[in-house]
Amino acid sequence: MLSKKLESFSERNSTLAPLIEQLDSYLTWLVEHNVTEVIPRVAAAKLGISEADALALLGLFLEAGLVKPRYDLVCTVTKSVLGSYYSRDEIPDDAECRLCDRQHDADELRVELVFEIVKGRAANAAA
Amino acid sequence: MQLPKKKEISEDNPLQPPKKRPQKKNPADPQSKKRTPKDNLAEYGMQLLNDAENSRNPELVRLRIEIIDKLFDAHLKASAPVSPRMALYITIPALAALALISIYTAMTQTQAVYISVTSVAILFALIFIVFMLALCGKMSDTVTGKLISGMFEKVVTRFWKSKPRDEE
Repeated sequence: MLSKKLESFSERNSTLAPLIEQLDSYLTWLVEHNVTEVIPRVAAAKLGISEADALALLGLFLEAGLVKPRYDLVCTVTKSVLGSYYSRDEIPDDAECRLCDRQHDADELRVELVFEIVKGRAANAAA
Repeated sequence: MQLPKKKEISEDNPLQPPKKRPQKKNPADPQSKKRTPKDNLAEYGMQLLNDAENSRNPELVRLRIEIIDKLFDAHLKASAPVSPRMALYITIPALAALALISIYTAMTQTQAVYISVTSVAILFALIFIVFMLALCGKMSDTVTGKLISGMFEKVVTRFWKSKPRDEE
């Protein structure tokens, strides 16, 4: 079931309402399968839209307090997550990778944006 | 029987990190050394904004720009030091001030003074608009340079030619 904020948005923008409902169903499905985060790229593929459009829709869910953005700093060599940050300003300029056993700079690091599904929603889905 | 090359062994073994690939960017460039993961993120945000598959729904366009600006900081860091909104906030009062100066001159000064003041005001307005477009990332540095130098060239040539005529 959509939150009040999303419902009012869907009423104002009828063309986007089906996409919002699809994304909401997808989030519910993820929670039911014990997945606590949504990757915009994957959500975009699921909905058949571009990643930027999926981000735009996730922005609505963010405003409604249903998801929370998180930045994962990934080593491009080993594809391992070196750290997770809730603010862009917290992302360091370089990071040490234990698998590579060396310090990486921006050329070997990638920041991936994921959205954590907030716990309240997870509890509602489980109930 | 030939032995496998060392390079092939390291590529097959996922535990062994592969050798550093040659970078596309020029290592002598001082700006490439200063890059941070946040810059990469902002650049990726710009790529997302320019994706050809993006929807043209006006509401989705607005939401897309807002969220990417907020989470990727794409507007400020990628290539444009000034956001289009900020440029508008600066340009509109500046143009209004130039228009007011021109109107004030028309009411209080002679026609000759009015014409010269208005000409200078128009020239300033054009330069200002060009600079703002460049700062917003809507115009390349080369085009900006050409436009500015072209404008100055025309003005200087005109004044240069008009002076001897006046003296004659």
